[in-house]
Amino acid sequence: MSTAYELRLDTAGGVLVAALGGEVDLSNVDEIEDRIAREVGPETTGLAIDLRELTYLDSSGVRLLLNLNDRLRGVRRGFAVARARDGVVARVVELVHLGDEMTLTDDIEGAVEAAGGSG
Amino acid sequence: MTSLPGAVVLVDGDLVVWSANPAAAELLGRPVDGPEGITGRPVLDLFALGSTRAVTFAAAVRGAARRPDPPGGAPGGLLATEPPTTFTVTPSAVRTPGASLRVSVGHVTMGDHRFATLVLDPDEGADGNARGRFTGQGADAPVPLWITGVDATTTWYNAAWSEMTGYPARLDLDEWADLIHPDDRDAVVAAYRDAVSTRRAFELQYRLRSATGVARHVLDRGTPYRDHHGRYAGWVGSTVDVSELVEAKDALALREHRQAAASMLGRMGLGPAPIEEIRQAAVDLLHAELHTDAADYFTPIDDLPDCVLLAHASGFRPDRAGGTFPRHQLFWTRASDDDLADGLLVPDWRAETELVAGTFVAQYGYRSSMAVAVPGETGRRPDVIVVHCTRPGLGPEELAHLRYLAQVVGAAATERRTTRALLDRETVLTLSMEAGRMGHWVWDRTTTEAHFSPGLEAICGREPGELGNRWRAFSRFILPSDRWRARRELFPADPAETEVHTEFRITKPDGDERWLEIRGRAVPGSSPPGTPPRRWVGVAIDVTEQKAAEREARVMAGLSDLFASRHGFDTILERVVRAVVPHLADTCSIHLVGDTPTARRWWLADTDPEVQQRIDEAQARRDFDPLNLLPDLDRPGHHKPILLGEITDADRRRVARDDRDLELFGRHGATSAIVAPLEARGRVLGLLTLELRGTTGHRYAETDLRAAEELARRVANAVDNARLERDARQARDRLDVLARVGNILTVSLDSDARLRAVAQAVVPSFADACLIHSGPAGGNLKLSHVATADPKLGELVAAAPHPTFSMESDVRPAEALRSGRPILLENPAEFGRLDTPLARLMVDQGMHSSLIVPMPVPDDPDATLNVMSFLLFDPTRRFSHEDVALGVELARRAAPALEHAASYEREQHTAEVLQRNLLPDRLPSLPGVTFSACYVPGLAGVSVGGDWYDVLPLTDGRVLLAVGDVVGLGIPAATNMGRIRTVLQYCALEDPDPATVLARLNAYLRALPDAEMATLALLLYDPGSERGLLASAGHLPPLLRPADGPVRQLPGGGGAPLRASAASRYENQEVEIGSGSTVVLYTDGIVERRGESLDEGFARLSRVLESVDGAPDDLAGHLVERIIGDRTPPDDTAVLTMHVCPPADLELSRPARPEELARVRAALRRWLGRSGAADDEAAEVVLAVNEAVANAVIHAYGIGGGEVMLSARLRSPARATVPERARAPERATLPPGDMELEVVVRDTGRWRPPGRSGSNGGRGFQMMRGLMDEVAVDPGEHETAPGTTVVLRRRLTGFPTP
Repeated sequence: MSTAYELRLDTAGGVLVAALGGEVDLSNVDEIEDRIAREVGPETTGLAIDLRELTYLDSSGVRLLLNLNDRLRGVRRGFAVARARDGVVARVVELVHLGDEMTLTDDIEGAVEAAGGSG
Repeated sequence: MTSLPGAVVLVDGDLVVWSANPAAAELLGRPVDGPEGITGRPVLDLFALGSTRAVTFAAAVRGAARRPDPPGGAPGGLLATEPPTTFTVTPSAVRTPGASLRVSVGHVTMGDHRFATLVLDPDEGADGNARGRFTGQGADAPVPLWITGVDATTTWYNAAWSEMTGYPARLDLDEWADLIHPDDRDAVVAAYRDAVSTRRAFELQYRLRSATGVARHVLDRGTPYRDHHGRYAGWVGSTVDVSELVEAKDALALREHRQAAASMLGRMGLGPAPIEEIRQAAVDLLHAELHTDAADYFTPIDDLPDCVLLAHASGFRPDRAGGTFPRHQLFWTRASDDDLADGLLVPDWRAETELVAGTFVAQYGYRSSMAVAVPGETGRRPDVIVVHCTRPGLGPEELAHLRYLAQVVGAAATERRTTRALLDRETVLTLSMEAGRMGHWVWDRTTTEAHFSPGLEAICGREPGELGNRWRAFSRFILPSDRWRARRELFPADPAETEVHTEFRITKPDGDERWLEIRGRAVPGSSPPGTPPRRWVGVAIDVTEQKAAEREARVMAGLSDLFASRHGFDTILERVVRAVVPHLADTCSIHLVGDTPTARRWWLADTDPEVQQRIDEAQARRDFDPLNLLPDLDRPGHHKPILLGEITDADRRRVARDDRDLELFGRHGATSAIVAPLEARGRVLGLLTLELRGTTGHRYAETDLRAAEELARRVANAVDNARLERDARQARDRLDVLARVGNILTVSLDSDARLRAVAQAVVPSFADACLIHSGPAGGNLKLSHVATADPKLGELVAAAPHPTFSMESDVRPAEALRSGRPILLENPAEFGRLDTPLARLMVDQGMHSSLIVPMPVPDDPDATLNVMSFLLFDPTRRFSHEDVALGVELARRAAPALEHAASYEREQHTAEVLQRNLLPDRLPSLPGVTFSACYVPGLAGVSVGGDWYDVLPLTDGRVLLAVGDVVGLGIPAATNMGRIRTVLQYCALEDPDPATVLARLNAYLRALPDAEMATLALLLYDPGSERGLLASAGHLPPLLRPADGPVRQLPGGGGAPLRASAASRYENQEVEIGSGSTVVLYTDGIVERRGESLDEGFARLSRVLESVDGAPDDLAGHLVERIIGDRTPPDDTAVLTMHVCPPADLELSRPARPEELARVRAALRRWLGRSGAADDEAAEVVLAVNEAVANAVIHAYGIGGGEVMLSARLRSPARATVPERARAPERATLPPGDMELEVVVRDTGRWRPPGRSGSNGGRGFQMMRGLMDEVAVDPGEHETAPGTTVVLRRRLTGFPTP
């Protein structure tokens, strides 16, 4: 029984939007990565991850974001993350200096634009 | 008859008395003969005369006796005619003053002798008529006298006698006898002869025929006389006409007789006496009255024209048996009815020529007759009364009298016939009713049978015959309580009794009660003489209304005094209702209309106390409202009493508000009622209700309305009078109130007493209660003063909670303050907005009217604001517009007094606020150590003193506890306390050593010119070592309750109070305060109690502390409550407690699997929260620990898996096992309650190199190091101690701090 999480997948003008909720930890990162990866097709211009509703993110979750970033950039697709403004998730993003490695935006529109634009 | 005329004395020329008659002897007080007698005595001896008058008197007597008869006088020289001489003399033998006599001197000549006659006439004391008559005769014409010789056959008479009789002056015995009335003649002559032969004085009364033929009644007195040799010489006497006297006596007797007859006849008209009895009575009467021989009463018989019924008197007997008489033989048959009505008179039958005349004279010897018709019904031949006389001479006088008698008899007969007719007719019922509810009854003692007339049956409401024919049967309709008395009075024990009278109540079939008055008389002659009367007749009259009127009159009379009294109407109405019951009603109630529903009041009396209680109960529900009966109560002057003769369920429903009321009414059982409005001066004041219950069966009727109206009128006037008087009194009281409040302001009282006096001054004359709410502008209002007329109410108010309320709230006082205007509440519905316990209490206690007046707002913005509330509980009173004005004026005048008082309170308040502000409003919550504190001011508003406490956490994890007491009260004490506290904090920052702090504080206070002495206890506690340092400056020793042992005092150190001496030295005492211990620091208020030693106080505090289980959050408050309770301590009190109980460590052991991570995180979060960690710090700790656990999950075990162990603990920094980490400079000043956190995550597997996470792994340690102060990894020994241990440490700062 993995930790409870939510994943809403949607597309916005070719950009796949994955909104995460609940807690993301070691127990559910692999499943989440699989589900998102399955939705990424040839027509996908980019991927935008929405972390604003997420309440917990551990180092494995950080690794998930890094992996996704690597994978999309590897196929020349755009990737961006809408980060939480404060709370535990924001603290983690800040601790591991995630902004140094991927595009972070404050809202999902910005993330979609960044993901689509870069693609 | 001593005054009868005829007192004569015969005197000769020698002035010697020859003779005197008995009348003279009586007047002169001496016998005729004997030694003391008159006869033979010189006449002058008989009279007490002065010498001069004696000479004159003697000359007159001698002259009369010796004067020779004038020439040509009558033969025998009988009479002297010269005018008499008269003297007034006093009999010598009678010494009674004023018993004088008139003496007329005359003379008489008999043969050779000539005498002087002295006629004596009483001057006084005699019967007026006799005296007048005799005086006239004696003075102007000497009394008729006579004198005879020895043979007493020839008699000489004087002139007066001849004048009276018209006969000559000399008569032989036979001639005299012939003049006497034949009826009297023989007896008189015989008596005369007898007297003469025995020579005894005589007195005879007889009828003497006068010359005119008219018989006169005369009194003849004679006495023998002797010559002066003592020899019998003949008789001398007087003859007096006493006709008038005799006639007068007869007339009197006749009048009495006539009255008796009329009365008898009249009585007979009432009863059913047979007509024959009337006739017989009439005939008896006629016979007695007219002195006739026979009187008849004839009644024509319509069917037999020739016959009459005859009633007769003695001396007459009808020829034929059966009482019929041949009509044609009666003389009066020749006359017409009209003639008979005037009367028919036959003075002498011998003068008549008719055939019948001969018959009458021949057959019956009647000489005269008369007849008169008895007035009767028209169209019917009249009854006739006939009188026959065996002598001639019935005249017009007799006829007139007969006519009168005929009328009396006629009236009686008519009445009798009418009665008979009424009894026979169907209309008897109606007529009886109209005639005043009368009935008749007849009773026969012998047969005991009774007849009750239809009228009587109607009165009793019974069917014909239902009353029966015996009194015994009748009596079952008499009210049982009256039966015995009625029986006793109806059947008197005295057999001679001929009249009965009684009153009793009977019950009609409809249950109505009526009063009957019974009068009855025995029928005369209905039984043999000497036996009780046999037949009784009587009337029965319905006197219920009279009885009611009498009863009303009695009640009214009894109330008159009451209404005139000056009692308050409470008393008056109470007595009224009691006076009315039970005479006029079973229940009497008076309701007064109030200006508000709750102001309505009532008074009630009932024959049954239980019922009264029930009704009071109903009234208490305030549901019952008889005013519903008069819906137009606001339209006075149109109300009349309402009669509810028969109360119906509809009536009850109209009055009742609910089923409960209906039930009460039903049990009350009123069946009849009168409701009368009370009106005075055009206002309706209330209602008077009279009720009857069904038990008596009586119902109110129209006739009762008048009494109810009259009673209501009087009650209304009494109430109105009482109200007028009360209004006048209240007007006076109002002026008094203002005067009293004015006086209070001029009298020098302390402000609080002055304020209380203002409240008391208005009670009770202006209001039944006065409340004053006070509070600072913009703050809360609180009840400050109360005055009540009723002490009980005062106690209730004192016991009630007094919450404060905001100036902005919508309670009335606040509203009045905001608006600056008075508020008048007259309707209880409005009280709802006063939704405070106090307001509810007031309404429950019956407050029905209140006036709320704000006091003028002072210029000073910090001044206290006040509101006065005046309350009325007396339902008869209400606040008028004048009262509102008076209330405003009162508030205006009282404001200075309140303002003065308020400034004092403000000072107290300031001190309290100051003190509270200087005390810590929140105690630190250190991990493992809990604190509680409590401060109680002393006597309210008086003893805000200098007690204080503080808890100072130090940066090194230690904590400094302080409890002190600054000498003094109020603002200065609070200020000093504040200074000490500030300096203490400063000193503790530099060096928290208690002895050092005390020394420095002492020096500091010594340096301040305006400081006061203070005591202080300091405890520096180190949770790490569980030891403390204690020092005291003259303060009470703290108590310690170890986890396992009795409570004991900690050594105090015994230092002097601060500022007492510059040379004071303070020393620390080290104490052990282990886990589970409790320390209590306190000031003297908790241990001091009046009349007790301090040791007893310590012992009590120790006992209470010992009895407390563990350490409740509010241990200090608990101790204060247990020891001080509701008492207000004389001094203020501060208590501070510290309890040592470090938080438990967290120990976890979970399977090393990814899905366990969330559980581990949750457990850790809970533990941190319980331990008091701040949320943000806890979240970071959770992130870090999660990485360590995740590492173990990922790296420690293979397929088989294993456990991951976690332990966490929080410690005070002093006990921290790791060195202090560097601090930011700003945190070094006064550190909050930091705690050192250590988390150890351990597994028993072998550490493996990172696997598939690749380049993106390794972020875990990055996070751990970023979040924790220290991260240490012990990889363990491969062989001996497999497994990895990660130790994470962090100082947490987010614990609650002051």
